[in-house]
Amino acid sequence: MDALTSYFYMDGYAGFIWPAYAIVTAVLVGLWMISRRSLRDAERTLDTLSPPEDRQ
Amino acid sequence: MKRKHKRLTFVVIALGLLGVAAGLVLSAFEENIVFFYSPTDIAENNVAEGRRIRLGGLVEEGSVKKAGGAVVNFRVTDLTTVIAVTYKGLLPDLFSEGQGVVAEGALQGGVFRADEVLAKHDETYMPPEVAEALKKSGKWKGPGESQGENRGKDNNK
Amino acid sequence: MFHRFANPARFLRLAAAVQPWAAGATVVLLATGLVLGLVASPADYQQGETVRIMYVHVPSAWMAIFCYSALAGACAVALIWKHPLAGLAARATAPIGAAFTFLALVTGSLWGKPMWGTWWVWDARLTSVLVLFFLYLGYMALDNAFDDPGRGAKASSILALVGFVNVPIIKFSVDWWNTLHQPSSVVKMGGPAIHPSMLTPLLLMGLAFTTYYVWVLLIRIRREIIATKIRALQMRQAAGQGAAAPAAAPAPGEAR
Repeated sequence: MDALTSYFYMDGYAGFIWPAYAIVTAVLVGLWMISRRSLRDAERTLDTLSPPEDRQ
Repeated sequence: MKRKHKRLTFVVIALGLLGVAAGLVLSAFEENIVFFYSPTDIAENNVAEGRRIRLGGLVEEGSVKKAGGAVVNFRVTDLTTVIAVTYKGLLPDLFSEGQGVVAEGALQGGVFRADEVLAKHDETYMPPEVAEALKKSGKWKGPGESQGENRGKDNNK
Repeated sequence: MFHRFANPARFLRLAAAVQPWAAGATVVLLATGLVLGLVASPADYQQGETVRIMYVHVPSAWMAIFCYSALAGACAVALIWKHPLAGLAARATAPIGAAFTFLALVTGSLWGKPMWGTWWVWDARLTSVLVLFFLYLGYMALDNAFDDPGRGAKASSILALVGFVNVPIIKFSVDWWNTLHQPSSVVKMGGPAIHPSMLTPLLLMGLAFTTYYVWVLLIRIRREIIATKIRALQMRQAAGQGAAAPAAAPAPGEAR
């Protein structure tokens, strides 16, 4: 348990290292989710405009 | 096909001209793009007392003296000229003797009074044990030995 | 070869095949890179533990430049050869590049505060990367500013090409002028100045960010292709209603 605490403490730099990784994770996951939702929405709109058997 | 070639030539020429223009502008503004001046720059150009400027160089080995009350005195060198610096405040974690440093302030009676001191990092990354081993084997090229390395060029080893 | 993949229908099939591999590679590379970077790699002899910020900062900065080069290249192809896919690829790349540039700036700032002693300085490297971020934002704003997507694409493509002069400036800023930012450690004469125990996680993270780019790029290009189809269908239906044509008729070019 102590080893884990000292690991997360990062020799006093926890306040810089963990926010850096948190922001990277948030931005990359967020961009992926926005892109995917946008694709899904577009696919749904296309389905309402033309019957699926017409496509591809 | 003809129109494509025309567009291609146009884009290539436009980008070429743009590159030349950017190069000219940048070289014209070189003075302003430079982030700091070396001690030699400052000594040779007779920088006026009290003019705000950034001084960059290495912290001279053995020159750092804590004067109490968070005041630190040290000397910045570019291995040719040395300028004494006095600074009151917190030093960045990378600050140490032999390490690159950029101080912002002004000359006052021949002493550079800095109100901000930034540490400059070099491009070398290694674990502490490797640094130790290199120092022991005499292959050290990092901070602290850079003066010796520079001399080595002239002395031909 | 090039023309074969420039066909949107073919591209969609290719994208569907490549996308799961890009996703899988991203997850595996990211997991390995993070374990090596956050746990298995040593602290630096000068920077201590903050060296771990480098494993996300440097790949973000690489991708910021890489995406802008891809953007400018795609814009050039779209302007000169009028390939419809190139325009879509450019439009799909810009937000990813902007995200990487933002991350490079923020993580750099989080490293700069404890190490340099400041969050930000206006040196040539930091300033030129901030300009890159604004170029991405300007490109995206211009791309969406026109009612006619064709005109927006043309104006923004020209901006992207003009902004490309900034890329060599960013790369060589640390060599041409003295800056607070350190010169490149990986791409330099005499080999990288990074110990292998730190270089490995750095390169793995770089690869992971590259496959992430491919993965999200494919998703975004697919969306752009479908959006183009939707626009064409809506225009056709609007025209069809005006001419009282049978609405149920399959749209030509959509059926195969």
